Amino acid sequence: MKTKDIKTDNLVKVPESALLALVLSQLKGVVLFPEKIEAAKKYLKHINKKAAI
Amino acid sequence: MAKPGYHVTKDKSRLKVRFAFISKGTNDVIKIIDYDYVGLRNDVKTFNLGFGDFDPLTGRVNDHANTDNGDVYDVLNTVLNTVPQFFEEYPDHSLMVRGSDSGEEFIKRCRPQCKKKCNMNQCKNQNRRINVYTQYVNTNYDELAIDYNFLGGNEDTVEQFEKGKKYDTVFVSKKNH
Repeated sequence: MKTKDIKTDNLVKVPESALLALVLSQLKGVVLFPEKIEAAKKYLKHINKKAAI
Repeated sequence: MAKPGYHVTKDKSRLKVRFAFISKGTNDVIKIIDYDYVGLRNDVKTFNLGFGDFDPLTGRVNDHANTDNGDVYDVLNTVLNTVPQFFEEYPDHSLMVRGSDSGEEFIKRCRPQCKKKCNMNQCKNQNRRINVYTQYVNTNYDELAIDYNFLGGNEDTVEQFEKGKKYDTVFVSKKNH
């Protein structure tokens, strides 16, 4: 079945909570701060090592 | 005690809690707060606090953005208001807070585009974010210390948090009353 593209400049109004839920569902499973997480892991390891000495 | 901030939407998955809210200043900006598991410290599971702006065009989050949206205290309060929500999910775990502008990597990124006249041994933009958090803890320590334990971390040491002292990292855990 052929779908019809409708091009319009009209904006759709979405409730804030629905928009945020949509964003969160889009980001599900995505690591958003990989560098920060790696730096934090590295720091924890370093601190644990220092504490063990 | 919750301070006035924005309403947040929460999403919890295994060893992760994520919040989203809209900063309504000069522009509307979607902000994301992440609590990610990063490892053990003294056998306690520890989570890192991450925070940044969501870009709907790229689908990415930028944790180096300076939005200048005119609502810095509302945004700060909103982030802080999620801390008790994190501990509702993980009461026996610990939280660590570091600034995205901490560390040598930040200086390398900042220097080429910075207009401030810093010499080679300093960066005036470094540690601004963690300083905001430590300042908050300093100011509200007596009230916060009723329910939470605070530790302050620097390069090689983690110690009991001392008011007024500079730290790169702040560890927070919930007291068991």
